[in-house]
Amino acid sequence: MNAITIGEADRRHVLCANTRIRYQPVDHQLFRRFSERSRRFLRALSDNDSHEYWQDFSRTIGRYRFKLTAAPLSFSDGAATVGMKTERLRSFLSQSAAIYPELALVAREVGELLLELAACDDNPMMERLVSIMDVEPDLSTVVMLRDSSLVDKVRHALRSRHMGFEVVSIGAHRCVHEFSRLILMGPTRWFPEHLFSAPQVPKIEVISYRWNRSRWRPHSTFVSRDSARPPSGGEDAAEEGDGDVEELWPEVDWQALAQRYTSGFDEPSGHESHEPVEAQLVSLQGAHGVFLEAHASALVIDFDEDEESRVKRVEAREIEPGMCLLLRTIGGGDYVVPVANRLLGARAATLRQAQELWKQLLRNRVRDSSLLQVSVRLIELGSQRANEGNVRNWMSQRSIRPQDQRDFSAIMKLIGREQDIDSYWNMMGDIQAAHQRSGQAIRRRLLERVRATDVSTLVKTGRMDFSLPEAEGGRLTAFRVEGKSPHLDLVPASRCGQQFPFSE
Amino acid sequence: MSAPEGTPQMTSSLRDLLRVPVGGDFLPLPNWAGFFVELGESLCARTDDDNRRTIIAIATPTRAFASVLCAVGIVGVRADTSVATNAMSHFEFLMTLPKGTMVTYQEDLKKRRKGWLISCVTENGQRFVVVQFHPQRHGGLTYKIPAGRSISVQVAGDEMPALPHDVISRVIRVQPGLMSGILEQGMLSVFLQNSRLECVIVGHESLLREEIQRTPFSVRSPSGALISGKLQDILRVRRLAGGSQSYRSELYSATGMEERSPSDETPTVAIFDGSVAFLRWMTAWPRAHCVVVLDRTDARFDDAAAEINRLYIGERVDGGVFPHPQQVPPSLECMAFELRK
Repeated sequence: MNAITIGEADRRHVLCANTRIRYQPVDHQLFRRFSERSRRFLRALSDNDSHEYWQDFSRTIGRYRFKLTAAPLSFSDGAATVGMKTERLRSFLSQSAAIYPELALVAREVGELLLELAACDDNPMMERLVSIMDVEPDLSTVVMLRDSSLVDKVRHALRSRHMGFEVVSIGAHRCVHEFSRLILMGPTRWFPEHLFSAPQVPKIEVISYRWNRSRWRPHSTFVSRDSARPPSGGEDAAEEGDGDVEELWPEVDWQALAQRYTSGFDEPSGHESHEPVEAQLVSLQGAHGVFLEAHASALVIDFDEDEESRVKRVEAREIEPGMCLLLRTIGGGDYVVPVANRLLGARAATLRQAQELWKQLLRNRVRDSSLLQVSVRLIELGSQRANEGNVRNWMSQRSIRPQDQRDFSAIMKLIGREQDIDSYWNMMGDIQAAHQRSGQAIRRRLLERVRATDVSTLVKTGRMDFSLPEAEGGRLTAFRVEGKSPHLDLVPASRCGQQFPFSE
Repeated sequence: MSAPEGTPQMTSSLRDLLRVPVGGDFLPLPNWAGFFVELGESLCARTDDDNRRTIIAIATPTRAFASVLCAVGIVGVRADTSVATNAMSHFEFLMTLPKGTMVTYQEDLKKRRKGWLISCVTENGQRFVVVQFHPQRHGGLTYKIPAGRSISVQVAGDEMPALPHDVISRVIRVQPGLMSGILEQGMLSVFLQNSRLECVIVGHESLLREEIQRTPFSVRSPSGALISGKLQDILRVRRLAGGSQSYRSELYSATGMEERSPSDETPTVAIFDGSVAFLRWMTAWPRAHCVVVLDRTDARFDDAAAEINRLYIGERVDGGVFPHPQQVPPSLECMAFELRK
C-alpha cells in the first residue's frame, strides 16, 4: 500500500460527491431471447433431478451468456462458444427429447438460439464502447471486465480498432485512480462496491444489456438509523427504468473444479512422486490454476504491505485474493530446491538421496498398513506429534524433516534405521539450512527486482515476469490470485506448484 | 483542494489553525480533514463516564490522514489540560508497577535521567514516587518526587540490565514546531515536559509514519506568522520521539502489536486505522474510547463493518447521537454508540 498525499486524499473525498455514473444500456433481440430462454431452462432444471445429465449443456449456455454479458465480444467469438461443439450439441438435444421430453423442448429452443448467435458477428457492447469513446477520445480511459480470462482478448480487439485503452480485470482496481474515466462491462453488482462508494475517477460508464438490473444503489454500511448517510455519488437521472433481471456472477464450484483437475493427475509420469499431499487450489489471473502444498510456504508480492515487506513468504493456506503469487515458469517446479542444491554443492546428491530414502521407507510403511496405524506406531515409539496430517506432511518431498527430533527418531526406528538417527538428523539439518539460505537469497534478489521495476504493469495486468540469475531461481512469474478453494484437496506432491489452464 | 464548508466551527479548534500544503502555498484544512480534527476534539470534550465508553465508526473513501488528524484533535484539545489532575491518576498507575521497573525522570525541560522505580510512599500526608538513579555501591542516589510531579516519571521504553554506575542525563533539543503556534509559552513548557498517553493509533505503520513525520503542515500563530512543522510536533508519538522527549500518543503496527508492553497505560482514545487493525486489536484497550476508521477499498471492509454492527446491535447502551449526522461531510458515513466499560 502506497502513501498518498493529502491532496490526493482530498481528491478522493471530493469524487465521492461528484463522480458521474452514466448507464449505457445496449440491446440485441436474439441475445435477449437466448438469455431469457436459457434462464427459463435453468429454472426448470432446478426443479428437476437430472442435473448431472444436463451438466455440460447448462455449463455451455451459462458460460456463453455470462461471457457475452461481461465483455465486448462478437456473438461468434470462440472465447465464448467453448463447450459443446455444434454436432455434439445437436445430437445431445435430439437424444434428450426421448429421455427428458419436457426439458428437452426448452433446451432445444435454447440450443437453436445459441447456434444462431454463434454464427452472428454482431457486437453491441463494442458498438456502444466505440460510440462512448468517440465523444471524448482523449480522456484517459480504463475498461474493466469481470472475467480476467477475457482481458487479453478484449485488449486485442480494441487494439485492432485502434483504441489503445487499458483493459483490466476487477483485480486491478488499485490502478483505477490513474485514469479519468472507468468503463465497466456488465451490471454494477458484478464489480466491487467501492468502485462506486469510493470512486477514484470523475466519470464511470456502465455498459450493460438493457434487461439486466444494472444501477448501483448506495446502501448504509452501519445499521444505526442515526448514522450519517452513505455517499450517493452523482448518478444520472434515470430516463428509463432499470432492467428486471438480477443475476449474480456465478460462484466458483471449487469442489467440482478440484475433482475435475485432480482426476487428470492419476498417472504420474517418469519418476514423479505420486504421494498425496494436502493442497490448496488457487485460481490465478488469466485463467490459470495451481495447487500449492497446504503446509508449505509460497513466495508472494503483497501490495497491502510496506515496500520493504512486500515480497514475503506465507503459508499456502494464508494466501489471499489480490496477492501476487510467484511461480517458477522456466525450469518448472520449486525454485528453492535447485538453488539450495547449488548451495549444498557436491554433497547435494548424497543428502538428497538420504532424504528420499527415509521418506520412501516411511511411505512404504504407510502403503503396507495405513496412515492411522503408522501414526499410532510412531507415538508408541516416542513421537510427539504423529497425527495423520503430520505423517502425510513428513512423507512429502516438500518437507525436510520433522521439527522435533523425537518425531524423527520415532520414524527412523519404525523404518529400521535406528543407527542412522543422528547422522540423518544432521544431514536433514544441512538441507534445511540450505533451503533457508536459498529462500532468503531469492527473496532478497526479488525484492531488488521489484524495487527496480515499474510494478504498475503487475497491478494492471495481474501478471509479470521477473528474471533472476539462474543460480537464484531463473525466471519467476507473478500471477495475481483471484480466488482460492475453501477446502484442501489431496493431490500428488509432484503436481504442486505447477500451473495449469483453469476454466470455471 | 476542496473548500472547507458546512461543518460548524468550534472556537480555537485546531481545524482553524492548521494549514495543509498545496502547490507552494498553505491552505486551510478541507472539510473532511477538519471533521476528523473536530471529531477527536469533541470526543475528549465529552463528559467522562466511568462506566461507559464511546465507539465511533467512520467509513471513508480513503484512510489517508483520517486517523492522524483525529489524533491531532485528541492531543490538541488536551494539550493545556491541567497536569496536576492527571498526575494523581498517573501516580496511581506508578503504584501498580513492580519495584525495579525502569523509568525515566524528566528533571527539567532539558534534562532527563534514567533510573529504577523503588516505591510510592506517603510521608506526613504527602505522597512521593521514589526513584533510585545509582546502585547502592555507587552511592544509591535516590529522589523522592512529589506525586504532583509524577507525570515526569515515565516507564522507560528500553530496558537497562542493571542500574547505571553514573547518573545518566543529557541535554534534549526541544522542538515545539507546530505547537509553538498553538500554545502560549507557559503551557508549551508544561506540554513539552510532561508525558501522558492521550491516544494510540493502530494501523499500517509506514503509512502512518509518512503522514506524521514527513508531511509538512503549518499553523497560523496568533501573531499571524506561519509556523511550519510536522504532525509529530503535536502528536509526540512515543516511538517516533526516540525515547528522549515527552510523549502524548503511541503508534502500533496492526500486524506487530505483540510488542506492546502489558504495563502500558490505558489511553483516553484508541484509534484503529483500517479493518485489519480493528478486527485484530479491538479488545486491546477495553476502557478506552474507540475510533474506527474503515477504508471502503479495504479488502476486509465488510468484515469490520459487520463486527461494528454486531457490537451496536448486541452490546450498545442507550446514549445520545454523536456526532450529529448533519455534521458529517458527504464523503463519510459515521455511526457512534456507547458500550459499557
